[in-house]
Amino acid sequence: MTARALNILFLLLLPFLMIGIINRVKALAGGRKGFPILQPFIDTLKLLRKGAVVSRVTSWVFAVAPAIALAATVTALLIAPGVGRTQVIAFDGDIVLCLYLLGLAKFFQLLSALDTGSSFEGMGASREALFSVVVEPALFLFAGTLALASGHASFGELFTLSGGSAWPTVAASAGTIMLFLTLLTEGCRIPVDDPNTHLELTMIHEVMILDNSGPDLAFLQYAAALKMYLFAALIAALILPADIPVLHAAFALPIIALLCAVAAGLVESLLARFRMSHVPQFLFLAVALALITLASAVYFRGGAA
Amino acid sequence: MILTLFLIGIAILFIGSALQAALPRSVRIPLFTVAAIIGLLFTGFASVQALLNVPTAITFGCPFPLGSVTLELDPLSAFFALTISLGGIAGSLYGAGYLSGYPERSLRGHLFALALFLISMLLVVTVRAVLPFLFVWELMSLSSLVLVFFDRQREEVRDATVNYFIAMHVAFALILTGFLLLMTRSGSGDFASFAAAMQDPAFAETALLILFAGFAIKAGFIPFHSWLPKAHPAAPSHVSGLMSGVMIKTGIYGILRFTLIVGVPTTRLAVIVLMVAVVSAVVGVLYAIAQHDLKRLLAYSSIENIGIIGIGIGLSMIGMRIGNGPLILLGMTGALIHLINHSLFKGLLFYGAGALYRATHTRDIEKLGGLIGKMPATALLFIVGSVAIAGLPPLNGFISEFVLYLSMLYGAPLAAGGYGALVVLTAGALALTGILALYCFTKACGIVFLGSPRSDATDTARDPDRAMIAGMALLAVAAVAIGLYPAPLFSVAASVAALYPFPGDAAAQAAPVVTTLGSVSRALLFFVLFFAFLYYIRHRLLAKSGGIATAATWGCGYRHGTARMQYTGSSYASPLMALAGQLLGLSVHREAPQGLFPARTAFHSHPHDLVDSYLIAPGAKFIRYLFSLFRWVQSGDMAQYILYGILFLAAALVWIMGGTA
Repeated sequence: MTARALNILFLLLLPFLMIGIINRVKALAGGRKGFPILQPFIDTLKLLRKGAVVSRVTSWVFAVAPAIALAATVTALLIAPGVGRTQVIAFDGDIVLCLYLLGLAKFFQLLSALDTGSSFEGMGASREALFSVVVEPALFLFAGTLALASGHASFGELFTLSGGSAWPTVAASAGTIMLFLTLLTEGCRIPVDDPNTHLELTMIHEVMILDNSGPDLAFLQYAAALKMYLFAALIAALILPADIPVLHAAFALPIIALLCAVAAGLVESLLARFRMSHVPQFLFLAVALALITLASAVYFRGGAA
Repeated sequence: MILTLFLIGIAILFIGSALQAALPRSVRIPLFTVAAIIGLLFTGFASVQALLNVPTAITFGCPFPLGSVTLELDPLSAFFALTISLGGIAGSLYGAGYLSGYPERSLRGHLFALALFLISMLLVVTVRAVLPFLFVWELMSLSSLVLVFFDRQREEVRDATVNYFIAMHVAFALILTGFLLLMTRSGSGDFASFAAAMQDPAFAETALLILFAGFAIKAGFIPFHSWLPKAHPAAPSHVSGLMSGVMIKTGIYGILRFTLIVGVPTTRLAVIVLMVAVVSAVVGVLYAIAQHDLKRLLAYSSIENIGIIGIGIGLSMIGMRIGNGPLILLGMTGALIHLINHSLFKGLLFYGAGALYRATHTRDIEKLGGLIGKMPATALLFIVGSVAIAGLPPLNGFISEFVLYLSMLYGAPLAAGGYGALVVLTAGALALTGILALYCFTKACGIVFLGSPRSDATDTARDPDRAMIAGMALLAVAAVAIGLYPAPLFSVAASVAALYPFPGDAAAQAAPVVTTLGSVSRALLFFVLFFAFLYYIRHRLLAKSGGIATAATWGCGYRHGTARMQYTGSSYASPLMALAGQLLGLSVHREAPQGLFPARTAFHSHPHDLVDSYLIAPGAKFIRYLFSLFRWVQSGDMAQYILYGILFLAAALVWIMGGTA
């Protein structure tokens, strides 16, 4: 019960903190002081109190999309493993619902971008759709591999690595890199996307929400931050020991999430965004890592059987 | 008793359609529609009864050469008959509205063919012997041929009809060959007798490969699909919806029926089915994304969905081979649920495309845009269908994909060695298909309904009449209902899947999944309520802060943006086509702007089908060449024909003389 309550508390807190820390790391690396770490949270609260300006071209799709995206992302986060791999909602195959809910959020965000009739937003939408095409199969391959190795079908159990061989080490290291790549992609960070660019042509996520304002923008930004936190939480679930006490996990999860933010911030300070045509090549790395994990799962399993 | 109801339904359908031909034009459509709906309600009710209670059979004498014909509604037949009845009801309702747009046509033959089409599909899934099966199978092909030929003035329609005619008869020849092969061993045309004939695995594999190739043409698996993306767009939309939603499923029925008869298929056959299905799913949806023609896009998406159904069947067959319970039961159940789901949302989408075509007279999505304002009901229904076909929660498409994933999550750890890896790779392929479908249908809805109009084709567009909306709404409601409350459909489909050889107690395997689906329902309900809550919050917040102001779309400070500057369907698809275009045979013609003040620039892209270019076209060329070798026979020279006559008489004389001597 405590663990579940903590899960929900973290949902409200950690996503904003992660964004704040990424920005602080980037500022420090660039020799600046940076804005307060809680600034993203304050911005979101402020946006909720603002009015909205909506394009004449848009329809009801544009109006419902932010609420659908946030509701779907929050539901997906309730399914994902949190403190000590406990889930607020859990059943066999829940990982499929979690990832497909993110798909639903994406579907309506893409439609909402196309609803504005802006060529910039269309461009952002088509790029966002393309990147998911590469990342999504990698996630399912990885989930399937974990099911193959563990014999379980629920999210928390899948991400509990066990076994005497080198398998947990292989899976945890390949999985962590893959999930971190996914975090950068889905969180719209460099080298896939640049959240701070001021040129619409080079944006992906930011350009899709150009016409959103007020509460809609707050919903979408919170949803984007939540998605980044989701992958950090998955990394935590993957690398923490199988039998970690809840109390330790309650400290370990935020630390890992914040470390992910630091890492993302460092990547962003050290790398430039890739050329758009090179991004898919970079993302195929995620598929390759998933396939490596699958091959090693079959290898280590063959020894046992 | 149940079969009597079933036959009464068919009789009502037949009498209604025969009667309309004799009556004046003004009553034809209403009479046909009422008869079709009542008749299909009867057959649908009978199917539900057969599924829930006891399967039944009825035998009656028929004139030569059919002999005695047995109709049987076992769970498998009943499941398909139910799909056909549901799809038929929505299709008839929609068709009533759609056909009212052709006041100059007599429709006598069209409606009669439509009734024959529905009847023959119902009979295809219930007859149990070679001769009656081939008879109703051919009736189904021919009646649908007449339906496709509706807009015969258009050259595209005539080409597609000829193509369809040939493809269906290649399929017929293959199925006939398979049957004849089986009959050499069984000595009888009864399907039940084939079980003994297929005891020999090598023989069974050969026979099944030939049969399945025939059924795969009907179902539209790649590379057997060439007819499908031509015939679907050519047919009027109520027919496209029925063909894609219902008719191609009879190919799946054939595969499932003969899998049931053979028992456990060979490993090779199972792997072939799975591979063909995976290729159909992934390549089908890639082709769909490349299309500019909305109905062609939907046709390729049907190939994708047939692929998804095939993935379930393939997994199930592999499961039978290696004794893997979850793969057998949940793979087959997922395939069956997806089959009925696809008939719902694909019907809905084709009917939506028909409404668009009626309103704008174009199927080119690059000419559309912004129609959500002028056709609000169609837009809403089309978006519902798109969410469903992309396999997204909370609609029905998600449920079938969920069950398929569940079969793989449960099945992979139980499968030894390479099979486990194969199952995981299949899960990856299904995920790839799902995300590509999302890409495809954000393109379809986004470009057609959202943004601003791209041409004046949309100027006079408006929602279609009530009958068409009702036909679509019926399907949309079913899609939502199955999505939020899937347990009953799952139980029914699982009882059909339990017909297949299963190690242990199938019901015990299915029971926990029903509980899981209950959890899915609750999670989805939570999502829906949470969305409603957030939307309400948004409404309140905006009301408090002074409401919504409207302005132009942000154009980077450029103030003279036009609708022509919007992203088009091709540009939306272009990053993916840059990766996969060569694989698909996409031809691109680009005229780059030249000089400092470029006057003109052009860009064309045209999606080809590699199977057409590299398999069908060379094949057709070879056949033409082969027959050209015998062209001298038909010289047109009278003297030569007289010579043939003399030679024939001489040969006959020798033959007769030889016989008497």
